[in-house]
Amino acid sequence: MRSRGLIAFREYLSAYTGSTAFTGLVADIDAVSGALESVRYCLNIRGNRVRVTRYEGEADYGEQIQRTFAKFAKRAAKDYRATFRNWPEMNHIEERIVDLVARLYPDVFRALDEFRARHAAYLDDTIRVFDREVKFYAAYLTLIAPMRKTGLEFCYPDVSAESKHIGAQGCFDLALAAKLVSRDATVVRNDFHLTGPERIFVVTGPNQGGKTTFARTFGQLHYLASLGYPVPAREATLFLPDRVFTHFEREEDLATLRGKFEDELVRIRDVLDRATADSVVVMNESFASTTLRDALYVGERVLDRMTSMGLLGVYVTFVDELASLNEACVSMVACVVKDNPAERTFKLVRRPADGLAYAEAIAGKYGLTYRQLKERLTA
Amino acid sequence: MKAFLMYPDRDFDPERDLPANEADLSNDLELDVLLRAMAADDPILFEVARHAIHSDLTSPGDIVYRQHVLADCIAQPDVIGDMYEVAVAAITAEKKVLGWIFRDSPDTILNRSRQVLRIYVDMLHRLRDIADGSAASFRSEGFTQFFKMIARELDDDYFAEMEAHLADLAFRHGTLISAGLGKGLRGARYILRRQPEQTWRDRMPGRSKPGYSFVIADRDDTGMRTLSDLNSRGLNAAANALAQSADHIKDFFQMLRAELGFYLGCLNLRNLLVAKGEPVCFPAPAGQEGASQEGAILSARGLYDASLSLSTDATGANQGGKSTFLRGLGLAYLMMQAGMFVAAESFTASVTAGVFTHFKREEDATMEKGKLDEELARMGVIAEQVGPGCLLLANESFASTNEREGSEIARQIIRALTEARVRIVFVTHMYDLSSRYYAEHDPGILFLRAERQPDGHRTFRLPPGEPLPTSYGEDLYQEVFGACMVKEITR
Repeated sequence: MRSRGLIAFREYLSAYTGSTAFTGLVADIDAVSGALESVRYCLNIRGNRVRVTRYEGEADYGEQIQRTFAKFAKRAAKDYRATFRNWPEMNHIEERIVDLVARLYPDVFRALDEFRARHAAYLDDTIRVFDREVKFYAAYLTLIAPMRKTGLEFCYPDVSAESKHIGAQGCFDLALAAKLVSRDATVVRNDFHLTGPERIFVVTGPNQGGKTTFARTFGQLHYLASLGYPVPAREATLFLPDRVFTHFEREEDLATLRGKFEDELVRIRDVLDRATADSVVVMNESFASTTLRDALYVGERVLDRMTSMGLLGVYVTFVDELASLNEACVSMVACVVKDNPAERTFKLVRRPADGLAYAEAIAGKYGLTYRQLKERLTA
Repeated sequence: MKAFLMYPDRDFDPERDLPANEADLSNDLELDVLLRAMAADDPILFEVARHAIHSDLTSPGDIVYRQHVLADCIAQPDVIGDMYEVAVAAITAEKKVLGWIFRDSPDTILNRSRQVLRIYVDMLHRLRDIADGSAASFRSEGFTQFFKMIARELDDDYFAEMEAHLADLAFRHGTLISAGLGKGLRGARYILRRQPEQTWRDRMPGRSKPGYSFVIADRDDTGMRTLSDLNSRGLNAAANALAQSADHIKDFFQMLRAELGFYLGCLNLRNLLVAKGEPVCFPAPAGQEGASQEGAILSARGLYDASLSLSTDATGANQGGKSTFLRGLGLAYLMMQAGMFVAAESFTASVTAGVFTHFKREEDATMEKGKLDEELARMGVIAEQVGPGCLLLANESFASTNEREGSEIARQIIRALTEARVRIVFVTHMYDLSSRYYAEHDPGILFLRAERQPDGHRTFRLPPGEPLPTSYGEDLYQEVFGACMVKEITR
């Protein structure tokens, strides 16, 4: 144990557990709950009459039935047991029954009264706070434990509040990995890095090729790093942003009465108004609802503002031209299998955008390139 | 409690998965005609027969075990019928009690199960009575064990025990439910307890165990609901046990119906064939062990296609030809290895590890593939399932392409399969295929040829003979001269 916080808490705990306040409480709990657990009673229900007695070893009738007919059993039987809803509170019938049980076992219940009087204020303040705060760590470790088990690596990134020369090896999307690991599917890991004047990844490539996953990964790494968590990557050097902004394609919001394109523009304006040079902005399929011309026009301007601010970001788009807008932009392409364009590798590589090459290949597979289609139509 | 009428050591499972090639066998061997004759319009008998015909028994001991049980049934058909009726009555009586609604409350489940058990106990009693009256006249090992089991498991003490439950489960003194204290001191772990029997002494004032009572007021609906909820929690496990017990006894009757149903089906089929004057006989199965040494045995006299006989007025000996021969042979193997009699005067054969059929199909149901594609695809499926000791019945296989190609494909397949110790009966009119085998003088191959009299009439017989080239081009397909080969394994 090396963390200052945990070492201090450990010292506190060992002092607390040695105190008579604590040892007395434990002994009293054991005594009282042991006595309560030993209580067994019987209800004899007949119409609206209830009689409460001590339990005196009467035979389990279900077991007797089972034993009588066991000779007929040869396979697992259907379960006919009903499930019951538990009301949050005892009602007056249950209260009356417990009152009568208390009369049958007066010593046990007198001890309970005394216990309550003695320990009404048992909860230690420091422990109460620890209980709340430790959940922050425990929740994350619980989430990533099954992933680690399958060999996915997490690391504490090298973080800096100045250098924007960032990079990650073997990184992946936590949300997707959680899903894939539960289905025993393989998680594809990616690498990225930015050097010199590079600030923004412009991601292009076929649908279902891993673009959105990459965008999410990039945002997650920076967000998780700034929380102090280990990040989903083998190794990583990351910038500590002041904020992480996202701009993802959304279903049309009828309440706004605005078109989707307009809605997206309003949202990105708000993002850019609030973003600083130290922010991270993740944009996914923004402006996909409009024409190529508009998407190019708006994209150039938004990217221009982002690069002039010098912030870090990802811009997933179907507009190839944006990939080579300026020296701050780095083109990343989602790859397909060379001989089978329908198959994806989910790997992203630094490469000039090549949407047309992909279109040609996928059309060829279905015999729909210009030459093929012409031949078929003339045959 | 097991009937053991189908196997000396295990239950017959009429819900078992059918073999993968069941659809092909059913189609090619016209199994449904046979099964309908066994079922006599009873859909349950049909399903039982459909599963039993694919028993694929490979141990001659298991086959003879069923033959002996069946012989008892033939001798005492009324007793079999009576027991079958008891089983059917028990199973259907259950439906008379109010319908089974899933997610019923425990007291409804308990009440209904009690009523069903009342009927089951009566039916078990009738079964005991039949056993008491008839056991002495049965000879087979299967029935001797069965009646012994009934006498042992369903003795008078056991009936008394069941009756006591039925009486106590009416709860004339209310229910007795134990509980402990759970979280927040709420009652937990509710368990129904059997009320100890009370003597007059127990009921004397001051003798009963200490306790406190209260009564729920007349208009306290919430209170009554709570009480009924507590009662249900208590009854839950016992109701479950009782319903499961009822299910288990129903399973017993269902198993009894299935096992007796198979023999009843055999009796139905036998009656039909015998009424037509057709011969039936118990076959003599030979084990597989010797097969690898000296070659498998197959010897039949008066073999005919039972399905064909059942669907026409003529008898089996006066109709048919090559396909009929294949079907008759296939049926005989299946029936023998289901422990049934076979449609022949006599039949002796080594058991097969599985019967497979590859028959020419009249039309391609899907129209997606070419005919040769379809044939090859089916053969591909067979190749995945076939193994040493299996029997393949091929009927005009690969005739959908030209003879040279068809016979070359067939030759390669035959060679591979026979080397894998598969026995093959191959009906073909491809002379290129049959003549080449004939020239090889392989003692492992027997050539049969459809007999035709000088005037062109067929005799429906297939005596041994040399293949002849097809030269009846103008004849209908069925009349085309062909050859039938039986290739047996000598390795």
